[in-house]
Amino acid sequence: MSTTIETPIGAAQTMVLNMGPQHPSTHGVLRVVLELNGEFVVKAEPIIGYLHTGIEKSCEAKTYSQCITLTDRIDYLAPLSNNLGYCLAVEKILGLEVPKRAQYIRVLLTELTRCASHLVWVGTHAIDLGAMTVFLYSFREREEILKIFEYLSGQRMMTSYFRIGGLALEPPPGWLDKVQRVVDSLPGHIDEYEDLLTKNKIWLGRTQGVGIISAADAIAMGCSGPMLRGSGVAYDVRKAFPYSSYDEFDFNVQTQTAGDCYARYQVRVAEIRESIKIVKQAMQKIPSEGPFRAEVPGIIPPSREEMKTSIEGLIYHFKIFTEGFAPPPGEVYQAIESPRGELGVFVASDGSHKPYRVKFRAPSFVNLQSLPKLAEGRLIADVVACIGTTDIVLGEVDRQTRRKKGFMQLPPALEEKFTTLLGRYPVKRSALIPMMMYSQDFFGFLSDELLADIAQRLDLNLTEVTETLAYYSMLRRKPVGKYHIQVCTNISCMLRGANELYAHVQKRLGISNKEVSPSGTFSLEEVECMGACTGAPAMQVNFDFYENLDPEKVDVIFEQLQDGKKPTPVPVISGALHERNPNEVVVISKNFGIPNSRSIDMYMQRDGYKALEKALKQMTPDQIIDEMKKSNLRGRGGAGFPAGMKWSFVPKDLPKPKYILANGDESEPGTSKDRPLLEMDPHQLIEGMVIAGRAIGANQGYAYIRGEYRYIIDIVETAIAEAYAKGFLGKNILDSGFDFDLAAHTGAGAYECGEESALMESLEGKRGYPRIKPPFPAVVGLYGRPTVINNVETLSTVPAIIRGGGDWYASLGTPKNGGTRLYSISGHVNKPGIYELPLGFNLRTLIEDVAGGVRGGKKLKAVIPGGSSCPLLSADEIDVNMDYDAVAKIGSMLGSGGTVIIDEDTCMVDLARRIMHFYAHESCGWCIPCREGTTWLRKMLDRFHEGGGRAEDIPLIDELSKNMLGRTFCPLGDAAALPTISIVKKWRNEFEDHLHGKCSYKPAEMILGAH
Amino acid sequence: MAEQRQVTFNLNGQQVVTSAGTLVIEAAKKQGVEVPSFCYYPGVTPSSVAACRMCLVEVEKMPKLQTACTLVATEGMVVKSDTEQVHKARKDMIEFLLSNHPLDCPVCDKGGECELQDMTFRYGLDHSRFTEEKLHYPEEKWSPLVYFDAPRCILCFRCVRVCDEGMDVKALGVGARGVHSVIIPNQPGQLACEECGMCIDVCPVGALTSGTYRYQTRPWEMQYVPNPCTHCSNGCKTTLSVRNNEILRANNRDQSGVNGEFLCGKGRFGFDFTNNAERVRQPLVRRNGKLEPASWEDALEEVARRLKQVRDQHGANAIGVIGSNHTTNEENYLLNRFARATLGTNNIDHHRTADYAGLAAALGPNATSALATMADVYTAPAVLLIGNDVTQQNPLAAWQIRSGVRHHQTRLYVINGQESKIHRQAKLLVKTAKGGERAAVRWLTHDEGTFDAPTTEALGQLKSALEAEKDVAILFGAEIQGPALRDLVSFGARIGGQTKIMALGDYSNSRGAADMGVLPDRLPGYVSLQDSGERARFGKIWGAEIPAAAGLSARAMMDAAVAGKLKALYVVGANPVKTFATAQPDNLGRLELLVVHELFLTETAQRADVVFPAASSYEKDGTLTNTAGEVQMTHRSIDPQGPRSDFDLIRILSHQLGMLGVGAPIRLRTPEAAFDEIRQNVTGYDLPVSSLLSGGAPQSAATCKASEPSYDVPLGNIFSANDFLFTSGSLGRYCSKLTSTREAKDTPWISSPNIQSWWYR
Repeated sequence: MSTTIETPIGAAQTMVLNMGPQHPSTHGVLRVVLELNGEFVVKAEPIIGYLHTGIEKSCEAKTYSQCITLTDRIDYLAPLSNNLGYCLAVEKILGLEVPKRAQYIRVLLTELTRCASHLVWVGTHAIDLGAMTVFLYSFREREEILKIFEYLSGQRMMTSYFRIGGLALEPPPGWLDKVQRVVDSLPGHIDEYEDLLTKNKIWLGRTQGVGIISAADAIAMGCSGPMLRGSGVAYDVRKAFPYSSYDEFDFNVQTQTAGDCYARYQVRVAEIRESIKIVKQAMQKIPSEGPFRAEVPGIIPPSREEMKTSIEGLIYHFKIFTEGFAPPPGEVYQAIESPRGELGVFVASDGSHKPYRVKFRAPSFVNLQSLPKLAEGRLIADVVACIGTTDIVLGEVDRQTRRKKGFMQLPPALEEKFTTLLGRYPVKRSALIPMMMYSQDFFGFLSDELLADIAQRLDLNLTEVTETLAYYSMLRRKPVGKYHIQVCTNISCMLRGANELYAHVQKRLGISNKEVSPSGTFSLEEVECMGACTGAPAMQVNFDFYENLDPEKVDVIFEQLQDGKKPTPVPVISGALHERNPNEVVVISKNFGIPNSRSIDMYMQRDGYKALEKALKQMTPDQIIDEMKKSNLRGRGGAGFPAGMKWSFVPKDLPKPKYILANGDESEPGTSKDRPLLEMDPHQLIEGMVIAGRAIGANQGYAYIRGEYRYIIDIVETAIAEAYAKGFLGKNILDSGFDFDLAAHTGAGAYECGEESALMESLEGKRGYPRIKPPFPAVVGLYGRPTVINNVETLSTVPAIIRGGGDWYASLGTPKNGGTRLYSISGHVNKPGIYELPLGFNLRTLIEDVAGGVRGGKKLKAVIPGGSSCPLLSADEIDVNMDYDAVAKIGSMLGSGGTVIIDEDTCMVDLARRIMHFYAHESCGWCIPCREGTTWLRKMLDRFHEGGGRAEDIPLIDELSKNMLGRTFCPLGDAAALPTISIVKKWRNEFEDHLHGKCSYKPAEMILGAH
Repeated sequence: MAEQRQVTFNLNGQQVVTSAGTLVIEAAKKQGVEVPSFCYYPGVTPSSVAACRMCLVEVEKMPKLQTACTLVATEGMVVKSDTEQVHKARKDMIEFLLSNHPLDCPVCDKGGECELQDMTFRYGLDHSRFTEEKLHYPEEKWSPLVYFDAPRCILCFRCVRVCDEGMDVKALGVGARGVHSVIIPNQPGQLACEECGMCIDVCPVGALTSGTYRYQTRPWEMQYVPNPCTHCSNGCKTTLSVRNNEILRANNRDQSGVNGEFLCGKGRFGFDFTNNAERVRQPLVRRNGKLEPASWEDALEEVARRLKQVRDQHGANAIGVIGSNHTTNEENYLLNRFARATLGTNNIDHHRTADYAGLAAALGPNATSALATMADVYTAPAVLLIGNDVTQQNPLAAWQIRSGVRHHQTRLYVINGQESKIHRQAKLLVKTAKGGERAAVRWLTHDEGTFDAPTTEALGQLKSALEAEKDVAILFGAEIQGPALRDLVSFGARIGGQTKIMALGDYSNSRGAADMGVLPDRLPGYVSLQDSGERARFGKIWGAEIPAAAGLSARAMMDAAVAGKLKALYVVGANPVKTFATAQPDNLGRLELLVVHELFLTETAQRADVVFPAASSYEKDGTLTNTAGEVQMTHRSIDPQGPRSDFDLIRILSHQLGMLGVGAPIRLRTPEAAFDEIRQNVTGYDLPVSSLLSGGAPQSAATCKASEPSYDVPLGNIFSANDFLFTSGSLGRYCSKLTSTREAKDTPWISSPNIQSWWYR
């Protein structure tokens, strides 16, 4: 969940750096994606389209005259050049002759424009490369030129001074004097710049030999202007295709041959001098009198005088400025030499009053393609020089990037991850959720652009991607803080002070749920159970767990984070490492606490993979299933279905592929027993899965692990790699001819995906909606193929059963309830933790002996026997031997082994409220009773607990729960209803107490309405 | 197919026999027992979703209530749907559903025809126990045609499924989860889709509403008139909702007809041309170079007089008649008589968009059994599709194919030189060069012709796959005509079982126009002009001798008009200036008389000497024949406010001419009388009137006496209109709602990358 990109830099590694859009150095809105090998640029890709003004398209909706004001904005450093190009094009299509006086004035002004533009260039280029002074000087001189423009047109930059047929206005008297002053002073200033730069060692170092482009390349890339002339090609539109009487002027085309940044500097500086030469000639040529525009009735408006005194003039004026004029149908191309190169204007007329099409060949757009050529292979510092030397104006680039065929360029590590993921599944879409999760690691959130890219990679419709994303609570479309703090407030944590802790965190960070701190350092989220129940209260920073917290410990963590240090997270789940209780019967937890227990070597030293050898070499698949049946192992996920029987339902001799799925989406509040199995003994699970695969004839397995257990996925993936290396996975395992492949798969935050059919939907890359049963997964499962899906604990038990035999295992428990299981005991006990106890173990002993009794000598009030979906037991119901059948007999369930102990100080209305918050948050929304019922109940219980209850609410809460019960699509509705019904039934007096005042146990300071 | 096994189960104490595999909800419906549901929507999806939990029933030996929409009836099962427990469950579900439903029935379009209202009234509580604050979201406009009001949504997911599985567009999805679940469009805040409006149609509540209909009226204030859609050739039935002589809505309300629940955007939203401001509403006569309003009497008198003048001066063959592919069969029949008997010329034709005449000639008398109906396209185990972009041009045929693929794995084989979205459904696709379909068919039939290696291999696979099929339905576009068509028919005959065939044309009565003989060389029912006996027979009915020589085709007429050889042109409901684009339009100045019946001033009408305002097919009675030959009645759903039907115009004009001594007046007063004459005289049209009157679509099969080894029309006479989902000849321009969508503003689909992006992803 880290938001920074940490890519190691080495010989074989490149990193991707995003440069811009920014001012200065990428000149406004250019973005360059650089791939770097150390300091060297491997690849430079200009990304454009941030300044899409749509000018060409807008022209189609305007009359020919109105378009002129739009052209100002194309290249905002040379508006008069754009005016000229466009006007010449329209004049060409009209066949219109412009008076000489206007032509010369146009030449004079566009040459001054060239000077102004080059002055901006030299100044900004210098400042980009570290020379400050020139920037200040050149802008000073440019201002003098802009003053002339302002004197003529009233505008410094957006002049629109040229009009079709000539000029907008008669130039005001004395304007040439102002030009004269500039012409006189400018050459001296240029000398000053040259003094500062031309022989400056730093300048030479930064520009000479930098950004070289050969003449051939420059031509091939369509470069023009100084970009081309700096490489020795003497192409200039003014000479090649003279316009506006340029053929009457004496000037030289400036070229240099080196083709580097310095050469282009030389060219531009020389061009300023050359332009002054032209301006001087123009001043001589311009007649003091004569028309400033052509006289063509119907196209050129009559004079103001005419318009104000004659009705005909008024009508013509009116028509030209409202309807406009209509050139004959046809198309023209007209090019001029703008400061940046060949500016071409294409105008197509369909004979109407508005252009059918206007298209600009903008020199910046074309010249920009040379950037990769200039920058690649150079140092990163040269990139700034290379961008500057192209002298682009982004307004002119003005193109929207069209989605390329091909995909987004992503960090190589992510690309690699994508490739791995795509190779894992028979159906590409399965990679969707992991791809989104890993992308989020890199970018902190999922941008629209990235989602579209992922859709393209997976051949999906965008809807399919966004609707999947929207389902999972861990996937997000907006950035979070650098440290994303997630605090669990579900029951196990709540019972141990999570509400107070969460309030403290909010205060400390100054932000509330789902907010990001102003500095962007922290963001906060109140989350549902994250499987740290035995270490409650707990929180996650990015993906790291911190457990057994209190406000002081939290303060220390935040202080360290603010100092840029990483506080040490819990090494392994709290509660798994404790002194063994004498009552424990250690079977599957035997490796807990052993140093290095997750490594394959240690695992093999401790009987690891012996069961697999036995299963493959000494047993037939049917024998394995028989052994499983004999063991009386019942599913540890919660439903308690006999595992051997489940396996036997898979049709034999079906030619379709089959699958083994490990359900590691442990998210039942109060339950954290798969987490230690996965993090301390992943090989036990792998061995179990391979044996299961052998038993049913499956050759592929997936371990679906909830998204919050991110570090565990890495552990499991490491273990899988070890198992492949040792030949316990892959082709022809232990020379048995049996093949089995296995991969870990990440969830993304959804309790519902613990339901087996929803898990398969999720694994297929879809929203985690449950499926209609029948057909059951054993017949129609993942990808519509036979699938055995078992809880992680169930599968982890398999090796022990194969080693010790089914009968042995069964003998550990009670009839029909074989073996041992892990209890995660949390809540108000002295020794919360994970304990392995035989089936049929007495609940009272579990509380009083194993868990060390109720904390602080308090009286016991209630027990949740197996996760928050179970009906609660009251203190007088705990003399029960915990096996599936015995607990069912007293009206509850053994469930997932998440045993939560609740003491006398707990408000049961508050507890009911908190439980309902969880189910309302996790309801998938597919079926009505669960979707609406959980939320309705949540709102009612909130109100009730806050003191707004009514007498009729108590039976209504009971009735609404019963209205959900047994009528929902999947058991989530039951899971929400059952505890509520039991609380209303057994602790009705507490509800009644609330009617006469507020909660008698606690002031209502809990955090409400978070979801 | 294996014989259906029957099972007997007990429903509310009654023994019910049904075929194995039937869902209890369906079996109950057949017994007249209502099991309410929102999310279950038969036909659209193969899968039930069991989300709304309204259909819970008691089943003996099952502890929990079961959803009847997922429960398959099995032998001996005992189901109870009317127990107290079941009724309570329904009441509870309604209560849950309404807990977040807004109190806006008074302003909701759906009020009065809302399934949620009905269910609440029937099964729900009469008061609310929900006192908490409801969820609120603002309404969203997803396109000019589709609006979404999230709080009203009950999340039955019908819209999502119909868009995905039904339309293969998947523009709708579900966002968030739990109580915040919400239907989302494929682009932020808006839809990019085919704008078919199926989502609006299937929505049981007022969550999705139509941009053309919202806030206009109440369902009980309208009359409902069934009419075949006036746009493409598929002839979907659309129910027009009419109030105060204005069409306010079109949808296929009772899901009957050839199209069931299907309608595309044109059928659903393309009706507002009827009251477009540009509609011509009175006769126009050109005076001093300008079209000016005139009285009916003056206009008719002028036309008759000038027609007689041309006929007297230049002979009958200087007159040409161009008919329409969307006027009714009766009008086409009358026009045929008008041209051949009244005026005495065989210069009569229309824009032919499929080679129906060639198909009739190739099939001969076999046509009766060989023509495919729209239903056949759905039921066929395999479909061979050649040319055409059915998704765009024949949306119903495409829907039928998709439904077949989805419901019973129809194998679709395609030969096409252009892109089409239907290719996604294809089992085998042979992509030819543009226009290469003819050569491919030649190869299939005669093994002649060469292609590049991949094409040859693909064709080979296709051929052997088809040869292993039986009961194949073959659909083909305008690409296949003349010899290629004969090749295809003979290839079809080689495939096992009963091969069915369908030519895919454009416009609502293309097939009707051809059947009714609006052709230069054929009389009604594809009777050859060479057949003197038949000629005499029609001559006798029509009261004039019919000339034997074939007349000019439409294209040839336009050329002759430019060349000055044709002196008068009588155009009914067509726009040949645009369609044939042979001539610089102003060259038509050499015509002495151009008469046009039209709704709007089209490119042709603008150049006419006389324009008669014509009624649209929503404004007149008659019959239309869709491209499959299925005949349906169209009705006068609104008064045309000025214009008259083409039928009336032709009839009256014949009287006017009769007074001048030209031809015999047509005395068929009503379309019904004309249809009687058609039934008696046109082979294949002897259809049961009762079926037509009851809204049926009996298939006609206008049949040639014998198959003809060579009936060819020169290339360039039969060509597709290339309309796509948002255009409809000259008519589409005046469907303002349809053209207001973003998608409609895209250029035609083949060349447009923009469309590709929303189309193919």
